[in-house]
Amino acid sequence: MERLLRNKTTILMFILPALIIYSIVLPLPAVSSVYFSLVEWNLIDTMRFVGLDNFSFLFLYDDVFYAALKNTFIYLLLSIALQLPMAFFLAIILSKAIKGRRFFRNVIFLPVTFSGVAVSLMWYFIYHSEVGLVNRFLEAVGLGFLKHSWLADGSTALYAVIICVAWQFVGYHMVIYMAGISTIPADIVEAAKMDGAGEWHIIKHIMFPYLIPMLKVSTILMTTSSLKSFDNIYIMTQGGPNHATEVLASHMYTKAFAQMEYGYGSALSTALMALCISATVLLNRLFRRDDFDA
Amino acid sequence: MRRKLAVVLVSCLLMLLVAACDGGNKDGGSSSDTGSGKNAEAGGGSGDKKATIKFWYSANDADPNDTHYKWIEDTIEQFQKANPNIKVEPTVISNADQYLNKISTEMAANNAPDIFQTWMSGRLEPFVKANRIYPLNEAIDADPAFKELLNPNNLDTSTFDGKIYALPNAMTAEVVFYNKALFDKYKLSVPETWDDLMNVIKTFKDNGVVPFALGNKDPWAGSIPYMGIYDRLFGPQAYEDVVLKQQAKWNDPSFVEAGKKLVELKDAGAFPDNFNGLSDEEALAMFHSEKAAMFFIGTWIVIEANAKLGDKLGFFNFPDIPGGKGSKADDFIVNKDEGYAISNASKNKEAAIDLLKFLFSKERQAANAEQGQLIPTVNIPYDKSKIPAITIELNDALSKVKNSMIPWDNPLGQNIGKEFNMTTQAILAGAGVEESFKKLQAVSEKVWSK
Amino acid sequence: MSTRTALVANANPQGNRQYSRLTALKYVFLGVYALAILYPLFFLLISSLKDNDEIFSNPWGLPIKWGLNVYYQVWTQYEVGRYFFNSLYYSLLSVAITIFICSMASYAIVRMKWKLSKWTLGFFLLGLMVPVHSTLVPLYITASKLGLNYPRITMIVIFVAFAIPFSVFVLAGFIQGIPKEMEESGVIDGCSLPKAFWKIIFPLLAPPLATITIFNFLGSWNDLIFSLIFINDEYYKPIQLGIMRFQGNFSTRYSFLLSAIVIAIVPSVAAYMVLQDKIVSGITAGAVKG
Repeated sequence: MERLLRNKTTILMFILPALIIYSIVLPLPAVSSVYFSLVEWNLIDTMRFVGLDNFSFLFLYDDVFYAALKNTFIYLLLSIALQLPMAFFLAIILSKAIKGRRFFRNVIFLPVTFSGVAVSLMWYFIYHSEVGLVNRFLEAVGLGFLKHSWLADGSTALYAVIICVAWQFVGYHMVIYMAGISTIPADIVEAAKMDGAGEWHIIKHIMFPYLIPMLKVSTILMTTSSLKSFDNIYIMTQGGPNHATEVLASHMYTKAFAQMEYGYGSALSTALMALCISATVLLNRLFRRDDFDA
Repeated sequence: MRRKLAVVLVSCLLMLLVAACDGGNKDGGSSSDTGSGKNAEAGGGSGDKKATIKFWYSANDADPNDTHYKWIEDTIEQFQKANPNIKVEPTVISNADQYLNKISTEMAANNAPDIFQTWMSGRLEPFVKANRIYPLNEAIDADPAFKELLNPNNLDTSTFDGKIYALPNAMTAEVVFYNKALFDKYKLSVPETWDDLMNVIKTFKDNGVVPFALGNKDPWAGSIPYMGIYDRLFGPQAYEDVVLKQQAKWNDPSFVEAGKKLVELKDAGAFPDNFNGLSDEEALAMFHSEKAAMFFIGTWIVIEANAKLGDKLGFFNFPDIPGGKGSKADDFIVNKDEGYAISNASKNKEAAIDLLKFLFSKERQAANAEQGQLIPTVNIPYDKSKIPAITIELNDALSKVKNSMIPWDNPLGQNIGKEFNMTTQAILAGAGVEESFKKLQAVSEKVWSK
Repeated sequence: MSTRTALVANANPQGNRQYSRLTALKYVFLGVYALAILYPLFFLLISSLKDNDEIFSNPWGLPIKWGLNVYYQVWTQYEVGRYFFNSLYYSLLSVAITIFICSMASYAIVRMKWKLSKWTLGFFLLGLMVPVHSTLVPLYITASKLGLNYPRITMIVIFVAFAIPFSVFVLAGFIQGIPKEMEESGVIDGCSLPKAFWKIIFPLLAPPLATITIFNFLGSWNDLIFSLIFINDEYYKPIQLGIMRFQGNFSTRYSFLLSAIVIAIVPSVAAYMVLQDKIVSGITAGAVKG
């Protein structure tokens, strides 16, 4: 057995297919993207090595980059602020064996299975200034004066997109929290109830501490997915009006694939990668320290 | 049992993989076709042998009223009937921006379709430089009947170093279309000067009519009034120095001044609310439904606008600015565009040339003209009674043009052209004019420093 | 709406008044929330069956003349049918390959004895950190050098590669829990190691493989960015990219876009109705994917 498990041919046969496909599609391009960030190239002319020019332009002149950075952070913070408490609240309600629990859980989770494209196109229709559900509804309840071009107005567009994303993903985080709550031993809750603890007390002192790991996981998830967000923006606003909803990924896409500035696009994606990795590391470290404190 | 299942699974997988490999060839369904297609490729694809050519263009295929789409569909159908040996595989992309991206990336990959629609001047130039486009001179010279239909004056945007690389199929001019009924209602006449224009804007604004429809989500739309203003202020020479020869800098005071004039227009309330978030289509709908009185846009809207507005539709050239060097009598923004070119990598050039000639045949060009399109070809007999009056009017006006300015984002090329458009968008959104052009200069230096 | 009132009425009548009032409040909240999810979907569905005039004149009601015709037209004439099968092809094939190569790789990492096994696992897991976007330009450059001639293979290879880190993570964790005696008995029976793996270990992997299948299938089915970049030809477009063509022509005929969205959503809803719990756990298993 030992000998068989050390057989080099078998090992290579088992590991190589996955290793090769993975390496040529993920790590290798990720590294070479850093190299491409140092060139100026439109794929047609000859490639020019320009050193750090792309980065100096990015930091010194690229307003859109700063707008995208700001929007990405608004998107990130508001997504957490909207989705996390809502998901938490729903999970607590649904953690009890109430009637229709499965039905509600399944309905709220349903949009998670949809594609970003379908959800965005649907909300594009919902926000439509003439035939959209939102304006129709406002009109029907006598609030017609609030009618608005939600996605066309730079001051509301980003928030409109954030709400659409929350609509889709609250169910996801809710299920994570429900899984967390189900691990709480029933006798602890029972004991607390015997002691006369109210519902609020149980939530605050028993459920919440149990859910802390889940809350961390979902915060990290929301952070990385917000930093990478692209589909919703690309479809609903294409980063407009006038970059009011531009995020890092959409800016990178436009530069590289619409303007054919592959070098500059790589510089942007390198910045995005750095941001993603440092956010993950930072959050992990932050949460770990919390663990020690607790 | 399980092992059998595994064997079946693995062999299924392998079969699918083989199918995927074969995926490069779309004719997989009818095997006889595939075989002959390959033979033809090997033989260089002459007119007698079977050949399959890929043909890409941009048109609104989901809109049954889109005349351009219908024209191309009909052309392909008739071409197929006349040439049963050539199989045309059309690909249509409805969004023009997406089309431009796709064709550029295919160019980069040296994998362009055999024959395709292309933009001209700066957007064609990199492909020509990279030797991706097949020069057409030989084909044109070899066929005098074909040659006599082409107007040499209209080939300037696709000629590089004396060689012709594409044939334009449409002339478009960018003028101010207006709603005569709305002008009459408020007792306004066509503005001759900047002050007239401001007065017209104010009157409409006061009466709750949107003065100019504008959908600037795709920012080329807002660059049109900018170019109009620039020409009236600084005339055609400045345009040639800056945009065509790329000799001046963007932070030149002239650009800033024109930008400030554009801001003046916006501040006067010339454009609808949230115009930076409206699509071009939404702006057109606004003009059609008479919510907006004017629309500074290309002549491609004429067919549809004429159908919607009829006699109410009129046009004028952007008014003069006193003291400026340009003139509305002589200077028009005109583009000879929507060209067709043949890829150098094509293995079926002869078949592609056949299709190109068919697109520019007398019959097809007449059909093009009769649906109201301004055509860049000459010696085409067609039925003038089928054309709306406004098209004839436009044709007359354009025949008197002394200086024609190509929309700047064309000669500037895909990258800087887009940056220029976005600069005008930023200005219209309230960004500082000086800073915006300073940034445009910085981008241009980075890209142009070759 | 009827569900909500019914549930409120059925609410637990036991307990004190305050408790039941709280319960009622919870149901109202849940009901409103469920409505906010379901009503837009319902609105989308009925609107897709109306023509342009009716969308304006009769926004709320059921369609007066049921225009199912639009679905037929969108499915055939506008090629949504083909987009659909393209997506199915990319997703199924990439999931099958992922299962095949990842279960082998995970076994080799966890069970087989070699120096770099730990390091290799770490190398795979690193992939969880890499954002898709930083691979796009180099991948595009490589693909365009190859001429973008093999869109199907390109899509499948990319989907497989991006499925590997997560799949290896899940499978490696599971294999660790399988007792070693399992394959030893097989080997003693005279099997070779690969044979023992396929015969004995692989069938045991059903639970994590179900997770992987659901997670990766949805991942590739729902993909936008890769097809946006790597697929030019209408012929090879998957559904997500395909349905975007109707957005540009939105106002010409609303029902085109709306029915295309419905077609894109229906498979998710159908699969979800059948496999609810499996799908919920399959997707949320991704919670480990930081």
